[in-house]
Amino acid sequence: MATGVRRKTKIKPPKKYGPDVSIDETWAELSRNIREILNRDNVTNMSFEVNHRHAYNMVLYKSGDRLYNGTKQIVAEKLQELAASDVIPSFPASASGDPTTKNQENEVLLKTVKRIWDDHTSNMMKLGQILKYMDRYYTKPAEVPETWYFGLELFLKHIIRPPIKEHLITAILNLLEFEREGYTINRSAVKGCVEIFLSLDVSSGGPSLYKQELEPALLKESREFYQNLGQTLRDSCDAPEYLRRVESQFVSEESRTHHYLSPQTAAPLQQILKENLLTNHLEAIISKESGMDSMIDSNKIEDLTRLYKLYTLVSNGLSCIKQALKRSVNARGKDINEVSLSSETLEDSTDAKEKGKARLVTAGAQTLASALKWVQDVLELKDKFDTVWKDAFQSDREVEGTLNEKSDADIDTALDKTITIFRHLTEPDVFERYYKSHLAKRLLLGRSVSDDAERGMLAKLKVECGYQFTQKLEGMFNDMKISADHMDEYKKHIASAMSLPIELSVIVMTSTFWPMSHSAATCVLPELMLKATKSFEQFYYKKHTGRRLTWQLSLGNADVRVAFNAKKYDLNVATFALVILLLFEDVEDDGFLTYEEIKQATSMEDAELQRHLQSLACAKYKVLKKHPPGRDVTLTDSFSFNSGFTCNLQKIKISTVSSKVESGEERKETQDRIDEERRHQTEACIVRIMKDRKHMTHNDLINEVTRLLSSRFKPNPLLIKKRIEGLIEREYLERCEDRKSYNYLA
Amino acid sequence: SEDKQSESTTTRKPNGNKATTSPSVTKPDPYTPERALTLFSKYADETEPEVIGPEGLEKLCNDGDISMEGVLPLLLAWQMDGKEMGRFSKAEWVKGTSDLKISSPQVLRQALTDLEDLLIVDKPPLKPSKNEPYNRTLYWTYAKDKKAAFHQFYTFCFTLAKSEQSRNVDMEIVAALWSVLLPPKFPIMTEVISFINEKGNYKSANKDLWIMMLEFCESVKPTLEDYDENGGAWPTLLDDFVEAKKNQNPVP
Repeated sequence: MATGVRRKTKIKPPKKYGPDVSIDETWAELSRNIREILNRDNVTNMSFEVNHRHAYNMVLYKSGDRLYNGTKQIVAEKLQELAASDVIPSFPASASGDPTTKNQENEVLLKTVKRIWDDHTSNMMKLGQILKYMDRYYTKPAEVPETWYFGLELFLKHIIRPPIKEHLITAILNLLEFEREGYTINRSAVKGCVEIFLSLDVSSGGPSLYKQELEPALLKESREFYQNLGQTLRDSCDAPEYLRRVESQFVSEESRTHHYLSPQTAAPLQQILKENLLTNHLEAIISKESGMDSMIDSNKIEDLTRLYKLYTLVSNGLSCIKQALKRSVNARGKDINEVSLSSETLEDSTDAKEKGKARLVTAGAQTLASALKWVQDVLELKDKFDTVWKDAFQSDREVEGTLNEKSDADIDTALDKTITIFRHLTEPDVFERYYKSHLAKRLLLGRSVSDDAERGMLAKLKVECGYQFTQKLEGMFNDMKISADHMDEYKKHIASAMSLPIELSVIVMTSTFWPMSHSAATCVLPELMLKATKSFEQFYYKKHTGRRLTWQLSLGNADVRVAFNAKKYDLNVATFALVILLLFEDVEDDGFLTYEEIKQATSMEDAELQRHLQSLACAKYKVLKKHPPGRDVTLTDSFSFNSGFTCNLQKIKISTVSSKVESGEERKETQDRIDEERRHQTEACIVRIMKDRKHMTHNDLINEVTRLLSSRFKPNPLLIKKRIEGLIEREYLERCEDRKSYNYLA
Repeated sequence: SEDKQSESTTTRKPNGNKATTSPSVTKPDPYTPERALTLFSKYADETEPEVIGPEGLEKLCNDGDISMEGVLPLLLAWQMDGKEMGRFSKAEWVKGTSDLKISSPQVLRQALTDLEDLLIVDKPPLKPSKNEPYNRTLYWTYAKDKKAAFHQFYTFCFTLAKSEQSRNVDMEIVAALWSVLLPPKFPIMTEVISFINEKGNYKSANKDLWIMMLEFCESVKPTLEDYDENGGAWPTLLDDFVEAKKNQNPVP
């Protein structure tokens, strides 16, 4: 159908308006009409066709340049007129003054320019249509811009010109700042002007006016603004508040660029924000009193998340976090140690010692209570950082490195936590020493929660530190197992051979595995017990010839049923305490034994004896009476059996008081042993290295030894040097001529 | 000792340089192996006739006007190649005296002071003369390379002071040895020794420390400015000393 219709339509040639109408007349009419269009008078009455034909004629009859320049002239005049009549009067009058007025004035200016722009563009559009023929057949040969483009050029020249341009930019910036300060502005006004800037370019094809003029000014302004803001906020806000503000700045800048600035400004603007709000203040904010530490303290996961999110925006933020975390962990570890150390001095009834070490403190022994607390604290701390790590830091691998985490899979078990803590230790050998002695205590006293757990821990330690580390620990476990077997056999043996009035259980410990001192405290055993020990010795020596048993009575304990006036109680006491108690068997109920008598009968050392008397007579369960009463046992005291003893428990465990002085000594002893072990290890290490290298300079050797030993402890160069001297003395090494290196002597 | 020396010169014909110009025939007697043996028996221990013990040595020194305090007895032991402090076996004595051709305490004294002057006090060597009071062959070899000779003597002293099985010598003895051996040539040693005594926690010295001490004296400037604590593997005792000294008068 359509094609049919078209075929019928005849295209008539345009009527020759002809040269009969003069060009002058044509132009006069056309220019009048153009002016009317620009003035937006009775445009509706105008005939598009007439105007178009005029323009067409003028181009056709070689008057294109007249038409072109004439139009340009008219538009320029109009714009000049507008600039003078509309724009200039709307310049903000007051440089200073009330911000709201200023705001309004700026807005007026922007709106005016925007209105002129809108009119101008729509006018230019219309003119473009009228002058279409000119655009097509005149501008190209004449090498001049088309209507639309000279419209833009003229606008740039007559409206966006000094000082209007400067005023405009200032107005935009003012409004921007205004909004940044929290006021509401007419975003669309700004947007309108920004768009003008965006659509104009200084030279055709070059960067837009926005890019060239507005953006630099804007960035400069922003930089200053945020520099100040950063300073002010840093000084006036606490860390969480600061971070909140910064975050909101980021968000609002983002929306600003979206809503009324150009997206191309987003990146540089963000950069400014990062620089001035973050990079410059990283350290200051994180270490504020209200900084990361207190966030962690008060479990402010949200704040921490924000902190992490913001800090990871900038390059050195993460390392800053890592350092702060490290500091924090360090400080906490130290605190915990200090707390438990100080609590030790307060607490009197010490039972067991636990060793706590997080990085810095080299020696510390705690009461059982504080030890538990310590472990708990450390675990809590660990948990906390786990949470912090997971929730706030989005499982960042790098932060993970700082926390020395294990993989997610095995975070749950407590053993792993301990291992993780272990990894934090700088001197694992000290840990090993303490771990060993506590393991020994747990094993001997049967306090271990579960054998499997212990073995699990051991396996983990083995993975962590290698075979050497756990060799002795495993030896201890093995001893326990063998001892159990022995006891079964022994029971069968005595059942067949003789019957003993007491039941004996013996753990045979290989002396090199167990961290017990070899010269154990001894005492005179009562006949009954002596007989029992002898019978075991006989049994054991028969099985293993060539071995020697040393009784470590101080490590043992005994169950004994004691008849008091009220009723019989089952007491669990240390072996020594039992020996003391048994002395009172032969004493009348009201009879006394003096300290001296007890000492003679048992031939125990003073410290040991006092300790056990104290736990029997001065602790929670007073099985003995001390005369005169008091907390400490002195050499002049005497004791009697407390037959009136009552208690609402049937089974009573009387734990041994550990004397203050001794625990100090013990600690020193432990340290000494550690030192000695370190000496051996250092020497062995030096020899290993030198055997391999044959010749080495002093410094290289020191470095190598330090490197190799660092998994166990941090050797100081002096220690190494002393060991080198020792080895020279024993002729494993010799000095070379240059005095700076050594030779290995095979 | 000045008095004693002048006294002894009056009782005998003048010795020393003068003695070489106008040699005395009667006093002291020239060396013969018999005289040397007689001398040995004179000072030999009453219970052990094959040995000169501490008492005999003291007598010998008295007769020869040899000071027991200083370095002379050590030099004597060195020359005799003694194995033990304050003891000489007959064999050592015979060998030593025949090497030096000495059979009188006075000549012995001269031989020892010659060595002291040469090695300890660091005086220039004597000029050879036609009529030597004793066989100076060894002396001339020492004079050719004083440093090597001193090293030999210094090392000998440690071995002498040390009992056979042990590797160390008590610091007390070591310090005493140092105080006679080193300070005349190396004044810094006076400070080192008093540092050791003040600290009092150095129990003993091993051979390494002994050797390194001499090395220290010979190679480090008295100002200690070129002492290299980190690079040089000095014994810790010396590190301690240098540190203490530097703390005492800090470098401006």
